[in-house]
Amino acid sequence: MGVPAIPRMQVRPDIVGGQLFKSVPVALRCSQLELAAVRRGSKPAALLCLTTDQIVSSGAYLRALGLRFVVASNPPSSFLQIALPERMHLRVEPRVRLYVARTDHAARSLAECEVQSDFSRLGALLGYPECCIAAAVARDRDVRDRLFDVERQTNLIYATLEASKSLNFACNILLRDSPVCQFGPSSLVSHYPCSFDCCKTADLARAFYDILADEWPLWSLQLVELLQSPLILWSDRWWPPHFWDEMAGVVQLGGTVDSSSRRISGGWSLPIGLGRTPGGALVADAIEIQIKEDATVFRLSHREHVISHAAAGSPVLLDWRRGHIERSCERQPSGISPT
Amino acid sequence: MEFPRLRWFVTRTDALQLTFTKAGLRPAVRFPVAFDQITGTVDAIEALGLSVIVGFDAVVPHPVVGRGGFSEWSSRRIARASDRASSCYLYAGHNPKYLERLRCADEAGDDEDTGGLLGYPRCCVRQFSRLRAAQNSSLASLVDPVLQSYKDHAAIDWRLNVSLLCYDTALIAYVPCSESCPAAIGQASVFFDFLSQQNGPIAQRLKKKLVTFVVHSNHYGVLSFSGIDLPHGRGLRITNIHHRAKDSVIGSLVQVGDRVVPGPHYLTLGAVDFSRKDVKFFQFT
Repeated sequence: MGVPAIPRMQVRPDIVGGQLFKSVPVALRCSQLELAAVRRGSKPAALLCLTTDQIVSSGAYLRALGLRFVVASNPPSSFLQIALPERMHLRVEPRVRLYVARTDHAARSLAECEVQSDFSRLGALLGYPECCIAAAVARDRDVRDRLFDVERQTNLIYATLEASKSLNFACNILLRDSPVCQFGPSSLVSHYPCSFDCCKTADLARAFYDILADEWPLWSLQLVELLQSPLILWSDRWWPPHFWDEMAGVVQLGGTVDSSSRRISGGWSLPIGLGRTPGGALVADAIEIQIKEDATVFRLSHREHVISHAAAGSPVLLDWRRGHIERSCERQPSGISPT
Repeated sequence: MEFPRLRWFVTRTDALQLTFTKAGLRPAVRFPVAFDQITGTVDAIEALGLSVIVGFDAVVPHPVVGRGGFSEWSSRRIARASDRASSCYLYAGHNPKYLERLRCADEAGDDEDTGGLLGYPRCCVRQFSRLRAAQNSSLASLVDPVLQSYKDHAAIDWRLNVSLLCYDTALIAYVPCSESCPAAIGQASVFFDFLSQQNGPIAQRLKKKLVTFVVHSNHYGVLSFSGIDLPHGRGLRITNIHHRAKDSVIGSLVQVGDRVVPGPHYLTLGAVDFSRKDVKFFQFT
């Protein structure tokens, strides 16, 4: 998907989303595009994972959508991709899967696929590209971390990154685990792409972008800016279990990248994922981020915040606007062997 | 029979069970009371001519999702602390020594002895103990004993409707071992006959509430409603909702006029299908 010929706008998802999606329950704002695509028949079905509290607060809204739903508590999510304390907390909350489609038959087929662990068919029924389904089925493995002897899931985001030669912002799903979610749709697609330059995913995203532009034109402009915002991402491969996080990174909303100095300036930072690394917390509201030789430095208005590469490893810089992946800086933390 | 004084302190179901105890239909009763309500409750029970003793342990309520604060089968006991915000159990009956034995069994965690001393049928007590023992100790993983013990393939005697305990509406206050347990039906019949003799209108009102359709789930809430059959086996149409918790999934998604279709794999409520593994549909007649 190329960049649409549209003027750049200020990145303020809180203000724009706050106005546009005011009447939508917070838990469903992120899924608005998916649900609209299902309603219009552009996507066969959608799968949402909500807490029972979220369904209660969204009940009237869900009824009004005119879609069919299957509600099931099985299979329970394992949350093996994230840190142990959060994993335990999430497992305790009663969580429900909502299979959404235009017909009873489609919603039920989806639910049955998941119960039968037929993930290839599940992906197909959700309308995901074949290459992405195949990649997800191959990569999504629960393994025992040999270093820490704790169960974990393959980091699917990092696996996708490793399979990517370049970046297409249409494939950017990293904001789905960020506060942007509470303001509106935070990605064009809802699946893990096989790579961040997957052509099939970009084609799908184009169709969804048209729906977004048709239903919420202001948000479509906003989302394009959000998805093109540069992002730095750490690998949690060598981190202790209390820090495991599939999407440990920071997005610099509205920022621009200077590749030569590995510096992102302008805009403001927003942590994604759990917002922490073994080297310190990921900070919001930084006006500049620079990946230096020995540390990542966040410049805030009155101070600097430093995350050393020795403690957290050095991150990868994703320049979604130019499509570049700055891998040269990637380095593992010292003193820890890979699993 | 309205127990105006007692009802200040205990639930409708507990007041009913106290009446049955007073009449000698069951040997003893146990119920939770907030610390600051103990004195008043004890006075009210003693005014009925019953003995009462106070449990040592604090009872920490652990509300079940979507049931408006109901926690009876998932409460847990801890050693009494100075925390006056929590509750404790009161044990009431005719014989103080018997009550002391009941308290000891209860606080020792002996579910079988406790159930027997409370006058529950032996088969139901055994079943309950088995279910508790088989469960993970994590409170979040506790599964509603009604869902485990009751099958929903046929109509059930309304006297065994314990789905509405969370709405303080039940004739018996324990979960029978099955939806057709003869011992539980026998005991419930004795209770109802007594209630009918004492106060016919109250008995009929209770029966009217218990003869109902119920959608019962672990985490989605409990719904009781009346409905009319739709032609050609197309299920039921909800005509009146009697009980639903507003904080429940079912309570938020279901309205009067919705169709209810109990299928082999799914229970359809309006636009939503619930997996039959999570939800049961009871017809109490």
